[in-house]
Amino acid sequence: MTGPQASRTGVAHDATGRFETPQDGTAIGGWRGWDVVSLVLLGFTSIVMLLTLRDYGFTYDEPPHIIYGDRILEFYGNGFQARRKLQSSSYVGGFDLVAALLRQISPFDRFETNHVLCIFVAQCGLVGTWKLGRLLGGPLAGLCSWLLLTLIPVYYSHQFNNPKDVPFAAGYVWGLYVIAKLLVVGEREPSRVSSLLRSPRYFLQLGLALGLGMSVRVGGALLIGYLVIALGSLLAEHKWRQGTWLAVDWRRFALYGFLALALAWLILLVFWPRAFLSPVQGPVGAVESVSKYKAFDSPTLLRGKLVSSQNVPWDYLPTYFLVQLPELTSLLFAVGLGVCARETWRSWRRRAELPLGMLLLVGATLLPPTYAILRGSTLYDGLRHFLFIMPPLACLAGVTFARSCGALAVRRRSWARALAALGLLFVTDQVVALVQLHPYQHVFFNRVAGGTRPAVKRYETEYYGALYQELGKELSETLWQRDREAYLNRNYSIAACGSYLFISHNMPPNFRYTPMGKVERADVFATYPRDRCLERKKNRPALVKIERRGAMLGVARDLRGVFTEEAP
Amino acid sequence: MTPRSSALWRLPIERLVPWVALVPVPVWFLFAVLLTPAPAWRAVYRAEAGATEVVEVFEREMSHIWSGKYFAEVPGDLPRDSFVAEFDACLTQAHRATVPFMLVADGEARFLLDGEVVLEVPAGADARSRVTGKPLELTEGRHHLRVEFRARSRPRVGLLASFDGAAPKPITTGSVTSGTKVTRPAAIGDACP
Repeated sequence: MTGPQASRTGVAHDATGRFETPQDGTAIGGWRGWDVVSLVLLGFTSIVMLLTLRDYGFTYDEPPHIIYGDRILEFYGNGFQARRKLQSSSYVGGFDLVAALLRQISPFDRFETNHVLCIFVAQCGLVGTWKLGRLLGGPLAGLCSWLLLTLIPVYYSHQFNNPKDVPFAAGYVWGLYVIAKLLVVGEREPSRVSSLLRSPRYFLQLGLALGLGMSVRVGGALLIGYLVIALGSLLAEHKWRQGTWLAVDWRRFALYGFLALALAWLILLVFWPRAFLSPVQGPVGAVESVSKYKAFDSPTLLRGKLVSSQNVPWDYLPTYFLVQLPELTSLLFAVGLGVCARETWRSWRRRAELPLGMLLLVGATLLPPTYAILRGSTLYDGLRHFLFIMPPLACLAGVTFARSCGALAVRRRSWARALAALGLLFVTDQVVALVQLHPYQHVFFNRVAGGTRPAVKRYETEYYGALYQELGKELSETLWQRDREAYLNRNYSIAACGSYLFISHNMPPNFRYTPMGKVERADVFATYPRDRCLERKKNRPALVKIERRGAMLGVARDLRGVFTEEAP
Repeated sequence: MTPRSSALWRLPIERLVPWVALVPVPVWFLFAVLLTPAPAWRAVYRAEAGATEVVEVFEREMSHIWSGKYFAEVPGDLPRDSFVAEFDACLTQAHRATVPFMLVADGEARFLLDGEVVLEVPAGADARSRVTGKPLELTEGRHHLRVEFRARSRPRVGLLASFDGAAPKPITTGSVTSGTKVTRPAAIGDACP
């Protein structure tokens, strides 16, 4: 079988799995020009991320990870002597150790060096998403998957200063890509499955993907579960449809499978002193403590009410996804779920090939939040901990969009053009949002929530503390311009919500942090929206406000009335 | 020749995409490592004034906070709240200018410009007077910046200046602004002639 064939994705491809240049409208999604567009856009985005890197302040999650990376490095430097905290840490330090190594040669400060690594790892995630979308739906689907992920504002800004959720998302999507490869080959050329399962290269990719996925969060072990389910489904589907088992060299498969898992385990051990010192008991204990994680209890906002992070209602996560995802992304995802369900049902009835690749995306997107909801997991900071499901979600939406274009083009070209125009309108709308919210894209709320402005009082918005960089700069500049003589000869006492580092690191040394318990002694109160801190000291005049799209995200208030002439 | 049949069109573009996306960040970082000037501030730490045993390090910026686990550690295993340090750098000024300088210190500190004490935070100063500053005249040419510091509990020290009219910032390495450059002194005691 060497000639082009049409898959259920509507994209022509040859026997090697390479997508062919379309000859007619049915294969619009397989046009190779989309790869050129992807090439230009991915390169352009990489440059934009570099140019805007310094606009992103550090977040409250970064300092502990920086210390953790230093401790792991110290662990290797002093003959595997681990401090007590290192021996019991449930965090795998893949990102943190690499960042600590980079800091040894970096000319930038600790946080900026972290951010350089953040955007590199994020780019890996974006490329993984593009590859996964392309694998499942062709060049247009790859482009759309990448575009839909890049244009999710909450994901976009986390790429710069989130040292765990986005690196985990990158590992997760690459793990899914390697698993999806197996399913796609099974779907298009069942005879090649056995050769793939004999390929050392495939198992090397698998071991690396699993290892890197787990090297940020031990929950990456989820991928092993997906792999087992995917392989079982593939074999069962073949038996069910053809009546025979796929010819697989089981001995070789077992050997390579074991080696891939060993490689993944080895990567995990290198990045995780707890597992290094106790290769079995360490990870098992960590999984137990992570799944029962109850240490952190912080009030978190949902629809205007503060709820305990340990007892959030079941719809906490679904609500945040509903109001923080762009409207078209949610719509395409919902349509994708419907199409996938319909296709599965139809294939089942006809004993035709099941859309296993798409089902993998559905499972990878829906299973983790469903598990968290059923278990009543501790949740806070909106959907931050579930950023890792954004790449498969974007892939499902992207493949759906590409397939819709192909399907409409068959019926009437003008319909496909209308859909493309809608897509362009969406891209423009989201790019405007990204620019207007820069560098706090994670405060994006869609039209369902009424936009960002009302969301500040109803949902978690700038919970990460990145805005203190801009707030600190604006405040010092305002006070300097107001009275230079006084500025040169005095300290300013700043009370602030959140970490003392927000002030100590973001402001010149003549600004001193005062804990909120001693706020009455402070000169200035500076804050972000977390814990409803924006509501405090509202009767004091504002020295500086940080606003985006009409929403006030941060403020510095004059507590003594000496820096402002305006009435309180 | 139609685009489809051209050699360009037959390139495996899908294989180039990851490279185009992933190469810029490491390349930029590598250039930054290679091209960023070496840290300008020569810092010498001692357990006490006059101690012969010194720890010499080079630092990028003249601003330190030694309290709290997320801040700098004192080099050479010296106690965090009891040490003395001297920081030296050379400043090259292209044009004559009046520049506001600030010295901030928790502890005892003084700032010497070309060997002359111009700013001083005395020992035991109350919280409000631990900052001192004034505009200083800088002539065209090289100047020696020196900060001498004696640590007390929860020490911090910073030398700030405003070369561009904006709020004073800690004096860093390299081009601070157009016409002003901070470089490393050749050796301990070098007065930046």
